[in-house]
Amino acid sequence: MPGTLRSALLKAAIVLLTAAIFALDALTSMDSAIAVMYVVVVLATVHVWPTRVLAVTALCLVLTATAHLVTSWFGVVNSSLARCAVSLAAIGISGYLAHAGAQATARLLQREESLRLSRMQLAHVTRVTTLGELAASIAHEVNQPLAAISANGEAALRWLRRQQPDPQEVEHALQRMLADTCRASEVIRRIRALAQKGEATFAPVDLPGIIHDCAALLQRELASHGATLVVEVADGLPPVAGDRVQLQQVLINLLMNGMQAMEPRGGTLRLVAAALPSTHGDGVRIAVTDQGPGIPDDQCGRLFEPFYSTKPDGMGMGLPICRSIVEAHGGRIAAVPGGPGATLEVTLPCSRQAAA
Amino acid sequence: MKPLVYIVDDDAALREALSSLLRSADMDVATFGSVADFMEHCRDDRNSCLLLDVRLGGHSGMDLHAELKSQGCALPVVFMTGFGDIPMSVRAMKAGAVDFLAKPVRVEELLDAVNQALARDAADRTEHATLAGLRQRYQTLTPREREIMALAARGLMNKQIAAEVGTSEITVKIHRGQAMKKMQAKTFADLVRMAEALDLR
Repeated sequence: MPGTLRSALLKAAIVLLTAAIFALDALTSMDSAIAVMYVVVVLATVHVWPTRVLAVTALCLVLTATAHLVTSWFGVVNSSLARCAVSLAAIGISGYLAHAGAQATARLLQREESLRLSRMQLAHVTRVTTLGELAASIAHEVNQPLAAISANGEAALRWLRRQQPDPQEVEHALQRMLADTCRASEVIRRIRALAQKGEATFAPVDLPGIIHDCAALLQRELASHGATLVVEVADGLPPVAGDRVQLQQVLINLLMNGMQAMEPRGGTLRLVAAALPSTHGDGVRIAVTDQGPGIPDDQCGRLFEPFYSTKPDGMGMGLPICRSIVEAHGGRIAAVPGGPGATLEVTLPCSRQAAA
Repeated sequence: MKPLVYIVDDDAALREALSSLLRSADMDVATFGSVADFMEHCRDDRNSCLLLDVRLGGHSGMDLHAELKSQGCALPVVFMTGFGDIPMSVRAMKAGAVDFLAKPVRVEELLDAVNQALARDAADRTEHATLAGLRQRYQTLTPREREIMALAARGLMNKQIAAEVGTSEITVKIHRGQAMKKMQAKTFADLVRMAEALDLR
């Protein structure tokens, strides 16, 4: 960990520097205000012990006074006293300023942290809202395997109860029931993954898998709105690091927007994922294109403003959240101007690059 | 011969399950994943009915039903749906569906509905066969016999018919007798009913 190593080295340097200044100040009779150098100690402290700036300042003041007493053998030498006073003032002032600065930084960090938390909560709320919108089609998606399970169960019973029971038919029915059970729990797994609330974890993600899950989750909803989803994922996508749930949220949002843009006629939604051309650096480009009326060029930028929505009942939060998620991943999201229909593209840096 | 049930449902798992269920009840089953597949398939000339999912990806089962009817296909239809809402079931029943089942379907209900649909198909087939026989016999009539059969069925007396076609009453009588014989009508009332079935008005 280079960060912790650097701070350990800095701490050692601070201690050594303090000792050296004190030694020079107390043991030599140099005709200079070497104690002023304690200012460096105080300023360096801000980086490693931001909460102890005042204590270190006090220590430096004490050391300065002590050195003065030692050099003057408790006698009063005017010039030395003046130098000592200047040093004390300089150390005191820089200590105060450094402390104030550290406090302001701490407050800022705290505010940023709470902003991050609220953003996370907002993302979660919109995720759950989306799931709510999908409730009907998700219910159908769970109902379907359940219907199959019950029909298979009945069929198995009937095959068993026939005058000449047919064990092979029973076996097939039971096998289908097991497969349907898997299918139902798979649907539940996808929903739970989306509904979960928690810290974003940045780990290497399986982008084709994420895309597949989104497609499976939305399939019914899209079909019932007359939209057909065409997914094209290029082979050998470069690795991407990120939070699975958040990236899914972005894709679902883009797909739902596309679907809604094509209402009521419906049409084809295309999701294309491919590696960025090497001139644009290593990364992945995911584009969602609909066959709706498209976005006027002058509104491409406004789409990502909070509370701006082209939908009559839209909250205007979807795309801003997408943007904050994508930017937290070091990527970019934009509406591509022109073209029939609207295209929104997300570029994500590949994880090799992100780690560097 | 076992009756045949066509199942059209976009969900492969459910299709298989329903197929097994109906086969266990001694029926033959043909399954299709899409409306297009079903429309392409040539339908056997045997006692059959159609079990149809209302919402098939992009193509509603209702549309298929309407299309079948416009093609003159009288296959009785039992609808199934995951979203059993009242307006949809009303539409289905008005369009002539035998039944409208909500998924997950109860087995007894399903079998009842399918059996009812098969019975309706059997009745339709008998009626159809009768009509086909009638048409066949009608083909054997000469133009003059047909003309006189139609006029007689309208309730005209032999004398009136003779005046209408410009021939003697006795000739009319002979043609009329020929027509009754060829049509295998035992009584004059039978002949009138046949004329009605053949739409000779």
